[in-house]
Amino acid sequence: MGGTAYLFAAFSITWAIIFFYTFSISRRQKSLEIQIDKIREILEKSLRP
Amino acid sequence: MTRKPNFLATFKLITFFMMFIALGAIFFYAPVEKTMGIVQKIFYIHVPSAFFAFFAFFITFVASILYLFKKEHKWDVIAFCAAEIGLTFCTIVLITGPIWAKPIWNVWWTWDPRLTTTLILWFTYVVYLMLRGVVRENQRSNFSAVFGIIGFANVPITFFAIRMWRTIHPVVITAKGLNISVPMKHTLLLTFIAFGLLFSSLLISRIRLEKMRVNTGEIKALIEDKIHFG
Amino acid sequence: MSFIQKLRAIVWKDLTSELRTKEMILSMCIFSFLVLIIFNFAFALGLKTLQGVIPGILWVAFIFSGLMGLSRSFGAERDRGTLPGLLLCPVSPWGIYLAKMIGVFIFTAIMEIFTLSIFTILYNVNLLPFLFPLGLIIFLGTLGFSTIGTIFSAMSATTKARDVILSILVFPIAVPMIIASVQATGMILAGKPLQDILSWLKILVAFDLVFLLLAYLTFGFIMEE
Repeated sequence: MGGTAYLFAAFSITWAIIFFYTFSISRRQKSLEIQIDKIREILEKSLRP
Repeated sequence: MTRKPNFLATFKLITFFMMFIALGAIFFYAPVEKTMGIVQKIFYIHVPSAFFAFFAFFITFVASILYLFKKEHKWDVIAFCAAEIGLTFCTIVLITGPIWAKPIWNVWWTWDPRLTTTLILWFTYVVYLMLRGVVRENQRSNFSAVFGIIGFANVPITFFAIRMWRTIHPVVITAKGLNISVPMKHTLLLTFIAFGLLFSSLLISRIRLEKMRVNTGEIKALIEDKIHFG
Repeated sequence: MSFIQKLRAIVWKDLTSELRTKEMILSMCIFSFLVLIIFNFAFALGLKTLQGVIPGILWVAFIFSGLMGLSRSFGAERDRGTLPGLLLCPVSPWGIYLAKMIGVFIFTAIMEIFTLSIFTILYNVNLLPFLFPLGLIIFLGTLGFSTIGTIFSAMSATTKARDVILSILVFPIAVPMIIASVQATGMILAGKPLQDILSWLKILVAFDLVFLLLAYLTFGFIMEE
C-alpha cells in the first residue's frame, strides 16, 4: 500500500535525523575528551622537574 | 563533576526507554484512523516536533534577553544550543509534514499559515546559526542575541500576516480535520512526553558539549601562551 | 546640541556625502529600472493578466534595490573607517540608529518615486487617482524595511560577505511586511476603498512599531565593541 511507504519514509527520516544529531554530539564530545587528555599530559610533563 | 554525567546518563536511558514505549503505542495501541489510514500515524511525530521546535526558539528568545541583561556567557550558550536543537526538530516537522500531506491531499506543500510560519522559523534558525558563524567573536553573542529576539518577535506577526493572506487566496485544503479518539490522545501524550525528554536530553548534552568546548579552548590558549612565552 | 539637532547633523552628513557622487542613488534607480524591465520579460503575460503580479513586481524592485542602499548605510562607514568616529559622537546609540534609519528611508523613498514614475510608463498604469492610499502603504512598508534593515546593516557591516549576510538577515524578518505591502498595493490598484485594506495597514503599523521598539531596546548592544 502506498500509504505505508510514506509512513516508513517519515519515521526513518525522523529517526535518521535524531540519530545523526545525537551521534554528532557524542563524536564531538569524544574528540574533546581526547584533547583534554592531551592537555593533562602536557601539564604533567611541564610540572615534572 | 562526577555526579552530573551520571544524571545525564540515566536521563538519556529514560529518554530512550520512553521513545521505545511511544513507538510501541503508536503502532500497537493507537487505532488506525478511518479517513486517513495508516499514514496518519506520522501525526504523532509531526505535532510534538512542531511544539518543541517553537519551544526551542522561545528558549533562544528568553536566553537572548537574559544574555543582553546579565552579560553572563551561559545564557549565550543556552540560546545557541537551543537554536541548534530547534533547527533539528524544525527540519523534522518540515519533512514529515509534506510526507504526510502528499498521500492524503495529493499535494506536497500548502501555504497553510502554520506550515509556512514554520518554514520561516526554519530560515530564521538557519540565519541565526549562520550569523554566529560569520561575526567576530567579540560581537557574536551580542548580535545573535539581538537577532534571536527580533526573529522570535517576528513569528506571531508573520503568522497573522500569512493567515490574513490565506483568507484572500483560499487553498483547496482547509482544516486538518482529524478525529481524535481517546486512545489516540493517550498516544499523543506519550509521544509528547517522549519528545520532551528527547529535547531536554539533547539540549543538556549539547550545552555540556559547548561549555566543554569553550573551556577547553580557553585552557589550550593559556597553555600555548605559557609554552611560548614561559 | 539637542537630540533633534544631533539627528539632523548625522542625516545631513549622509545626504551631503551621497550628493557629492550620487553613486549609490544612481545605482539603486538603475537597478530598480532593470528589475521592472526584467520582470516584464519573466512573466511575458498580456496586460490584463499582468494585473495580478504588478504589486509584486513593484515591491520586488523596491526591496532588492533598497538592499543596496541599506548595505551602504553602515557599510560605507566601515569601509571609510568613519565608524569609530561615528561612535565617538555624543549621541546615544538610539540617535545613531534613528539618523541612519532616516537616511536609508530618504534614499529608498527617492528610488521608489523614480521607480513609480518608470512603472507608470512601462506598465501603462495611471497611479494618480491612488496617490494617497498608495503613498501611505509605501510609506509604512518602506518604514518597516528601513527599521529592520538598519539594524541588520549595522550587524553585517563588519562581516566579510556583507551583502549576502544582509540579505539573508532581512528576508525572513521582512516577510510580514512584504505580504502586507504587496496585498495592500494590489487592492489599492484594483480600486478597493481604504476600509478594505485596513487590516493590512494594521499589520504594517504593528510591524513598524514592534521593530522600532526592539531597535530602541537593542541597538546599543550592536554598537558595543
